[in-house]
Amino acid sequence: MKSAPSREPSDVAWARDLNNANPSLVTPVIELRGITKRFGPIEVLSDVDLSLYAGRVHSLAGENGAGKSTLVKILGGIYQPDNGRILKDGTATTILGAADARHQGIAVIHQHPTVFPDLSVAENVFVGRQPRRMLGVDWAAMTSKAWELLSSLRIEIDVRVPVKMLSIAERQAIEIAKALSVDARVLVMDEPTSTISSREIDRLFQIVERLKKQGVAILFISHFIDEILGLGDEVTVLRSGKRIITSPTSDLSPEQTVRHMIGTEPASFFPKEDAQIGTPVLSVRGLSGAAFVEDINFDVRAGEILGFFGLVGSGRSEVAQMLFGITQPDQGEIRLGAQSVRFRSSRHAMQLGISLLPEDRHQQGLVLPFPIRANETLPILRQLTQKLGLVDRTKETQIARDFAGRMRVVATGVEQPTNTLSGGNQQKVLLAKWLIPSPKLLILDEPTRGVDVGAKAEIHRIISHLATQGLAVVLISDDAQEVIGMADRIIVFRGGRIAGESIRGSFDREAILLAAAHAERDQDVSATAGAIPTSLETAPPRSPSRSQGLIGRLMRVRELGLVVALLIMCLAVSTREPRFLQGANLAQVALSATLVCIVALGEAIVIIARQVDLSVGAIVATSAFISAEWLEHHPEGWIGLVVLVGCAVGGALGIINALLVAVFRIPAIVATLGTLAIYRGGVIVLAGGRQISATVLPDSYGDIARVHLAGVPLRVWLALLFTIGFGLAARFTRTGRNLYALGSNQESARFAGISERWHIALVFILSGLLCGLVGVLWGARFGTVDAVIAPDLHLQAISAVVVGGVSIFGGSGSVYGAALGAVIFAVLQNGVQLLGINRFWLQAVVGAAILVTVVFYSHLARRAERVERESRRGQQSPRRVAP
Amino acid sequence: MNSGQTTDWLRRSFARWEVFLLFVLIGTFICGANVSRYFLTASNLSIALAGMTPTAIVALPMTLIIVTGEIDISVGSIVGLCASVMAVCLEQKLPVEVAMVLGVVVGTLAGFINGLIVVYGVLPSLVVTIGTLALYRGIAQIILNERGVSGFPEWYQSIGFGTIDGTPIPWSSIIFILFFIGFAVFLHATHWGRALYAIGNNREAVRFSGISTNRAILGVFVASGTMSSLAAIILTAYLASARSDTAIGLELPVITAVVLGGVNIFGGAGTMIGVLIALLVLAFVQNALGLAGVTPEEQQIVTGAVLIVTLIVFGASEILQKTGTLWRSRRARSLKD
Repeated sequence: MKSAPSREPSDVAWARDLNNANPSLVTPVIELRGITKRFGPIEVLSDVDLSLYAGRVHSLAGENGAGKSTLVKILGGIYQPDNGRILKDGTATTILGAADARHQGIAVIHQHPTVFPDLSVAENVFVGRQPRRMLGVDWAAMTSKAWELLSSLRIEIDVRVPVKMLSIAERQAIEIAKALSVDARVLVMDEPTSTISSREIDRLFQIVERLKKQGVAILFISHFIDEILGLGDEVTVLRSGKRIITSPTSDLSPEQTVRHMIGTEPASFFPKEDAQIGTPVLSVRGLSGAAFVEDINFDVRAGEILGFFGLVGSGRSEVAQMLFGITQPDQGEIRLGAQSVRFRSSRHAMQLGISLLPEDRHQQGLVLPFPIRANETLPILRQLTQKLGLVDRTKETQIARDFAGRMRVVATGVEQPTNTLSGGNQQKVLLAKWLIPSPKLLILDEPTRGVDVGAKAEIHRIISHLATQGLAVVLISDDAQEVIGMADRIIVFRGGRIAGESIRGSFDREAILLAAAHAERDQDVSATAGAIPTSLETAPPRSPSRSQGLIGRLMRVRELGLVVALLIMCLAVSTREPRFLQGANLAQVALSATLVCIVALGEAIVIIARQVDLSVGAIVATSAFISAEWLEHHPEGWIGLVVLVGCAVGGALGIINALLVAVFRIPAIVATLGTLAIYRGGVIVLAGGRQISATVLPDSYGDIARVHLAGVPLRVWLALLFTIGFGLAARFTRTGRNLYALGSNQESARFAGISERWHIALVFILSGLLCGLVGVLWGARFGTVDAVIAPDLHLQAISAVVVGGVSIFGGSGSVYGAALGAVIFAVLQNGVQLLGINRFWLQAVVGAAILVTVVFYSHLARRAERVERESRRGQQSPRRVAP
Repeated sequence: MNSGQTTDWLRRSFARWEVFLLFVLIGTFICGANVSRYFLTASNLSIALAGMTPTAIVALPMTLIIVTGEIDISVGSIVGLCASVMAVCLEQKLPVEVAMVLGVVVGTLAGFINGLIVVYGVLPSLVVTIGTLALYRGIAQIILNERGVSGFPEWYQSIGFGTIDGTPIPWSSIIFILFFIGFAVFLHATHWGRALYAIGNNREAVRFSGISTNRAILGVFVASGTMSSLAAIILTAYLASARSDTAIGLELPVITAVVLGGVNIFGGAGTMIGVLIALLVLAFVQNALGLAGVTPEEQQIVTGAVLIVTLIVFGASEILQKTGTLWRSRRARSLKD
């Protein structure tokens, strides 16, 4: 790492005059007056006022559906208010779109951080605004600036690591760094604490303290009353879209806050009933697995609520998944009642009477577009079938209604799709789902995460009631208050092991929290709160970790590995058949690679942007025929005109593709399937069965084939030029990096202000242009042009791209790889010919090559991920900051 | 491929897309009748149906595959492979029945291998089936080279374009209808079918719900292989010839029919009825165009255009529908009765 300057970095605006860090109470940074927003006939926000002052935290409280997220979206420029005004520093303004919000200094941190998994941390921080040098993106500056930002916030992450390796809390930290890098004056934090552990919350709050000192105005939204009142200086409570009250937090008690939020007397938070505790339902001894969980021992009894408390990543969810057959333990014994069992699968665990409500209800719990009924009955669908596997719908609806009613799900009926329900109701649907199989043991992993106060209390009541009916419950939570309120016994997890146990009646909140975090408390709590690092030497220079080196190597290995594979192939062929290395033969190989290579370049950038273009062959054929025909009728013209004609044709067809995908939003694979048919049919009709032979064309045309520069054919130079050109553009232009961002995460790209439509249109137009060029070259290469040329080109191009290491899901890989892929296939083809292998074997060899390559890449990627994850887990302990 | 669009539950979409397609089908008939007075004749309709059958048979499992969020580009090659295997059997003077059985075995195996690599290699099916597309076609070429076989018995050929005595109904259509009913019931009324929709929407959640996603996906790929082998039988009967380049490019009209039928390319939504109507639309559009003197290539243009125009029109109507759903969900009441 380069050494840091000894003064505050001047290009980051939090190097402000510290005297002005005292908040100015006169003019709010942002003021919302009388904001009203309607969706159809529903008024989601009614006449809401809100003022955010520099250096102060304003909390926003309210149940789900109160209008908080709509307000956030208005501040973020995603929605426009129907009525009301927004004032910035006293003057009226409008916020039109995410990019505009950013320009005006408003940054929003979302609950689920909008990151680009395939891009590095540094790229994520600077997405859309990469620092530039004269020729393009300045990677060195980007990396060092990102590192400066993160370490000034005391966040220790290697900025070169792809973000997909990072935890949610780390991703949030990156978002905050991103906000700072744009000199945000207003930071909106939308429920940042729902998905991170308590220790990470502490760190987050320290960051907030630092931001306050720098004069940033903060809007903080959370479900946790403690945080709302503890972190905020003022709090505004919303209910049903109306502002109920705004008050300094010191004047408002938790009960009052909740009363304002729900409008009535709050029910007691944790209505735990006494239940009769019976014999052990589940006994676990010496359970180990999931790479870091070790020696877990506990019992759960009927009627008992056993709490698993610990930070995210402490092993609680891993144990839960082992108890449900999702993963297999390495060691240990599990007994159900008296019998020793081994859960082969989740279905097996279900049959043995265990239900698991997973941690992430969107990813692991619900099939969102399904109606409530279908979600509830998913696990027991088999039991609802008559013969032939037909589902008994009346019985299904009956059971679904029954259980949804018991859970008090608020909906229009069991046919309502679950993606339209609130978080609390979704959670209740999941509870119903897992109660239907009549389990003996219910494992609940964070059942009230992201759920509003009212629904939370209801869920607690339900859990408590279930225990009184003899159900054994394991309640996993990182909310100490919840676990203390609900559990009969608490087991504390830390680092994959049990760190403590206690029994109801002698719960000690401090002790539990301490046991879950590390024994050595973080040094940075008191020492550095508020102090802007004047020198970056306080943080120890971070040497590249072992894993980062491996990642770096693996990233380069792919292209390097391809070159090596290519060389090996050439070696193998030339030892058997020395003719391979002859100049004429190599020229042949190069030439046949050229055309596919250029098309593959276009296909590569299309795929990197997470699209696909199946129409490339048809575009090439159309361009080839039209340009050949044009040349036939204008033999005296400049040869360059033909190239223009061909590219124009390709470009026009590319524009049509772009229109369909970017404007009409037809999925690329379907749109290009259609245009493939249209273009191919079109050129066949146009050609009317004719073939144009290169001999009737003027000499200049053949010259394209014949011209050599430095002994290398012109076309090869062209292909090389394009490859390097696109490669450099992909790496060093903002547009290129934006394509990777778009391919990695389309939604995040939108939030980052990257124009999705424009970029998607661009890739299809570029692909069209390249195909147009190849069309012109085709005739020169093959001697005749007709309407049925290049029938499989789309498959060849995609194969080259995939073999070249570009992920079909977008966001990663390089055009160099695609070019190498094209060369590899050309060598393969040539090799098969030369070695006298029956030409009928070629297709099969190509197919096998593709399969082998893809399997190999996948294996590599997974190994890299595993190595990275394990090395990060080993670094979970807090770093000691040098005094 | 990103599945950003929240497609509504099939019940809601059903009314809109399938009805829309029905109108398109009726429109096709009207246009066809106007184009030529032979269009509505029994023999013409029979020919149109018989010609569509191979595509239609493969479209059945393809619907299942696309509903789960996967895709199978190798179906054409599997058909070609089965055709080649059968051809070699006939060359070896084996009875036709044996050839057929062997063909089905090979097709099923090919589908199984597809499924195996996708599921246990954890690989995107688009890429895997591009590979097997080449591999299977390659094997077909290896065993049959450039030879062709055409010595099929009478009864075999009648599978392809023969009709039930005294009626214009092709045998192949009967075969197709039977399978269609089976697949439709499977997808829409059994718990296996429900699981496929769930997998297409959220594979993780299904894994956590006690259903084996691996077996489900393996199953649909095996089905695709088996049905491709049946399509090979019907196609070779129809063409009265079996070659290694049989059914090159079959995947395109098959996928076109499935997508036109309203199945979301990203998975999780769509109906068999829709696919049936789409197949009929495509069959009769091509037939009508043929009668009008339009060449197969021009027909191709129309097919592509039909696909795209339908999607554009439907995309516009989806936006209208979304605002309707939002309004409906606000009128909720508690379910505790």
